[in-house]
Amino acid sequence: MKSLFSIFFDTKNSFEGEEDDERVILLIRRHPFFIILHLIFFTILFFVPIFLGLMFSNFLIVSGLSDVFFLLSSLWFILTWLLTFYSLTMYLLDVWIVTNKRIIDSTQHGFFNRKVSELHLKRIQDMSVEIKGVIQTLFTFGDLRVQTAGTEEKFKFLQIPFPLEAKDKIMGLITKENHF
Amino acid sequence: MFMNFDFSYIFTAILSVLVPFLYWLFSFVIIYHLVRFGVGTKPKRVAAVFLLGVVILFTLNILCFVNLDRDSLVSRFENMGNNSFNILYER
Repeated sequence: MKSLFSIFFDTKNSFEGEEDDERVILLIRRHPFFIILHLIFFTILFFVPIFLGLMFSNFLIVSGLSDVFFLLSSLWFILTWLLTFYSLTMYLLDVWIVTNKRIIDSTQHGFFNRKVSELHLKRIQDMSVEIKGVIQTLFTFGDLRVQTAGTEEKFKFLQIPFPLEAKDKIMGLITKENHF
Repeated sequence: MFMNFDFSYIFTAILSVLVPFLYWLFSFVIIYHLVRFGVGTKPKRVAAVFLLGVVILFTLNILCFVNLDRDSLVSRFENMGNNSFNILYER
C-alpha cells in the first residue's frame, strides 16, 4: 500500500529515454502564473450556473423547470472540469529536463501531438536570459536561450521561474562536463 | 406505425449512450497523458484529483438525468411560452 501511494510523493523524475547513468538535475515548467490565470477563468465559468440559478430561482420554480436547469448545470460543470484539466495537462506536459548529460525539451501540442528535442551539454556555446516587463520582474520569470556552435535554432526555455538560477546551474554542469 | 415512431425516445437513447462515451473517452485520454508522459509527482496527483472529480460529476449528472421528468418536458416548455405570451399581451 505504501509503494502504491509513493508515486504521489517520491520521485526520481524519471522520463522516457533516460539513460542508465543519467541523473535529472532540474525539472522546469513554465511559471505557475500562466496556469493560475487559466484556473481563475475556469473557476469563474464553473460558478456561472450557480449565479444564474440564484438570479432566476423564482422563475424556475414557478415554471417547473428546475430539474432541467439542474441537468444542464451538471453538464456545464462536467464541461468546465474537462476544459480545466485539459489546460492543466498541457501545462504539466510542457517540461524542460536538465540532466547531467543533456537538456530535453518536451512540448505537448494537444493530445497525441508531442515534440521532444534534446541538446547535449557539450554542444552548448552560450546562454542568455531575458526578463522583460513589470510582471516578469515581480514574479521572477523569463526566457532562457541556449545557443550551440551551429546555425541551429536556439534552445528556448520560455517563461520559466528563476531563469538566472537555472542558467547558473546549467553553466555549472557544462563546466563539470568539460573537465571530464 | 412508422409515422408514430418516437423520435424523441431515439434521440434521448442516442444521447444517453453518446455523451457518457465521449465523456469517459476524453477523461481517459487526459489521465493517460498525465500518467504516461508526466514527469514527477505533480501530474500523478493532478490525475488522481481529476479522476475523483470525473466520478463525482458523472454520478451527479446521472442523478439529475434520472430525476428529469422527460414525459412532461415539452408541455412545460409550452406552458412557459404561453405564460410569457400572456404577460406580454397583458402589458
